Amino acid sequence: MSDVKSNKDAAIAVAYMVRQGLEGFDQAAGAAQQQERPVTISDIARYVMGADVPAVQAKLREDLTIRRTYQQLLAKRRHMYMPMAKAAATASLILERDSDDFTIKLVPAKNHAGQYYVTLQLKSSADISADAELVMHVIQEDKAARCNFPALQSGRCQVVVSESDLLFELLTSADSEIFVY
Amino acid sequence: MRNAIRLHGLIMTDEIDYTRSTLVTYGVSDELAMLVQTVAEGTLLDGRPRCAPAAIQEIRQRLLCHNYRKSLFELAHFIGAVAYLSGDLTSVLYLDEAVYPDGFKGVAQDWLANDELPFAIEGNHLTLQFSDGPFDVHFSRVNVMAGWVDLLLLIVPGLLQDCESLAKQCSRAEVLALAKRLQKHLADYLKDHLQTPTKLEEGMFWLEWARKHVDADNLTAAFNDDHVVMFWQHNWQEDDFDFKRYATVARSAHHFVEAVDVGEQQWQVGHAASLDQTNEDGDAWIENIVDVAEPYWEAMQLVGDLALDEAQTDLTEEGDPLTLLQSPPYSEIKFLTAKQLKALEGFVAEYPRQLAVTALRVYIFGKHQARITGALQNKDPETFKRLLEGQELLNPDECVSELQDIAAAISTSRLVTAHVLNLGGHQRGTLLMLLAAGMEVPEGAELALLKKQAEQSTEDWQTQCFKAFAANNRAGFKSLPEPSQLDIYAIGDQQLAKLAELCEQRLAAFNQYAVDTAEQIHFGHDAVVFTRQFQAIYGDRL
Repeated sequence: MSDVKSNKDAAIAVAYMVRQGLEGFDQAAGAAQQQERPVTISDIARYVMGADVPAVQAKLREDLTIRRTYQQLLAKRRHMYMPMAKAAATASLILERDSDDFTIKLVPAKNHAGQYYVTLQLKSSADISADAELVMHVIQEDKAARCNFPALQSGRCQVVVSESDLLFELLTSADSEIFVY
Repeated sequence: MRNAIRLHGLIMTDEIDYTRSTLVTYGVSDELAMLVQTVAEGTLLDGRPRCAPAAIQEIRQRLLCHNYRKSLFELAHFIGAVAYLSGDLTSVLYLDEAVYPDGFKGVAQDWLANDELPFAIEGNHLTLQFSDGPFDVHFSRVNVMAGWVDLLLLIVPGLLQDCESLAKQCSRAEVLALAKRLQKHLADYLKDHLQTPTKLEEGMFWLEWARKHVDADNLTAAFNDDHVVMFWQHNWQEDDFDFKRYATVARSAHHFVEAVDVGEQQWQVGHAASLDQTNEDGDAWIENIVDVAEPYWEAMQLVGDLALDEAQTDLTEEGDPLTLLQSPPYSEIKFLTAKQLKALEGFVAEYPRQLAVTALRVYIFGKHQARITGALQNKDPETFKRLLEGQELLNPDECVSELQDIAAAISTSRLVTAHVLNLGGHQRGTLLMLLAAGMEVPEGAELALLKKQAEQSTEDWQTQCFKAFAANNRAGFKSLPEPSQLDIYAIGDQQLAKLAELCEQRLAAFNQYAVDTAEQIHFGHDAVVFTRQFQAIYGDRL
């Protein structure tokens, strides 16, 4: 076989290999719909911004890499931040926290034992549009909870949280950090 | 002879055939394919895909060709520029829309001038002025770069932290060092997830066989349906490859025909002359792994374009109609039952025009072979014997009947969908009504006016639509949907229309195949040939 012909055959053989490989990608893609997908950083980014991404929520506690990336994204893109409440570390439950930009208050619901209103009140210094729908992340070590607030009204928004919720546990802990988007 | 990767715990034996992972069958591991698919399905915050299909296709091709060094070289510069000039690689890559050209350009325009790494935005690219020379990051490439980042992060989860070191210093040396680290990570991973050498052997095996049995000077035109059967008869016992099942051989023949076409085109334009070149940027540790040289890329580009064309035949949505109807949000509406969709998968399989009969043979005899192997695996000697003797063989008339039932189901589903679209006031509903009225829609015509005319002449059709809707209790048709959902129904109907057309083509082909004449390939002759072949393969079993 001449060199020219062998070159042609080699090109055909490689083209065959790639065509098979492309089909392999397609076949596996169909089968992959039934499998659990890995979490991508874009998934984590969407979760940070308030999108419903159950896989991220489930993996945050068990996967250190995902947690680190999550915390990294939180730190870099926050609009507002509240550090650990060290001054109040002796208190058993912290029901009010204050930062330069906003205040968080937890008020017991009168008619529903075990439930609290979580109210976020912006301060005038906060650079947030008047009707923004804020997302709050509260983290402490390997625990993380998220809350999507309804649209702001007069710089204020609130949700109801149960005493048994992780969000409540973290919000009332002196060692938690709060990030708001 | 089987290579080490083939024996890498991926082959399970049964009585008859190897149940193979995609790594063995296609040369790509399930895991790698799943990771690429995960990247392909990634979305931006507003739900748009992060990576365009063309970007994913390029990544697939470069992986398959082991031809990713240039991409990673480019990627390292991209990462270096973003990390150093923005100071925040993560945010730019994941929280902005910088994965698309305009978005990235907008982000880059906000970067402050930097004495250590001067840069300029000129037209469609960003020029980075390294001390030893410039490098252009083209905005049109950022989407592919984003895809690579996503994929590499799935393979090497801590990579982002590594890349962020470039935020502090970004000389050419750092960029090249990053490129090498990326190459090593990827090469190490691909060692167990791509099976290049075997697939090359399989392609060469096809070629050698074809050179002996087909007119060697005109492979593209001469290779036909009968060669597929002949190849199967000659090579089903071949231990190195998976040629026992006719359906597998047929698919493989399809790829071979395409490969011959691409390879010959490639050779004709003269690129193949450089096959023996080495990659001047290559590192020794990569050369030890990689068998495929850089110049193959051009040939692969053709193959890739071909596959991409197939994926983009749909004007409104990418992908073939069956895949689309089985993917969200369309799958939430039961346009067809799972059984009907499954049956259609066989009927509408695409083969090159020169292998049209192969498609019919796969449907009839491939299915029969699957039943034979099923009976073997279930240790059901009576069924096995019956099937091996060619009893219960589906004939084209039965295929026609099956296909007609499905075509009728498609037609009914379209009536139901038309009812939904019409009541919802969707434009496609109007178009369907005009079609039912036999009216044409001149360009720029006032649809509302035409609709009024059509309404009077399509009362029967509207009644049919209503009755079909009332009789349908499948998901998505139990009640009328929200207006925002109507587009999904409209696109679903477009897919049904395509399937109806494909059914019509297949019906004609099966009808022709059923005709028993001496001049044409026909079922009666094939039944004898295939039954004999099944007996040769399985006759000594059970």
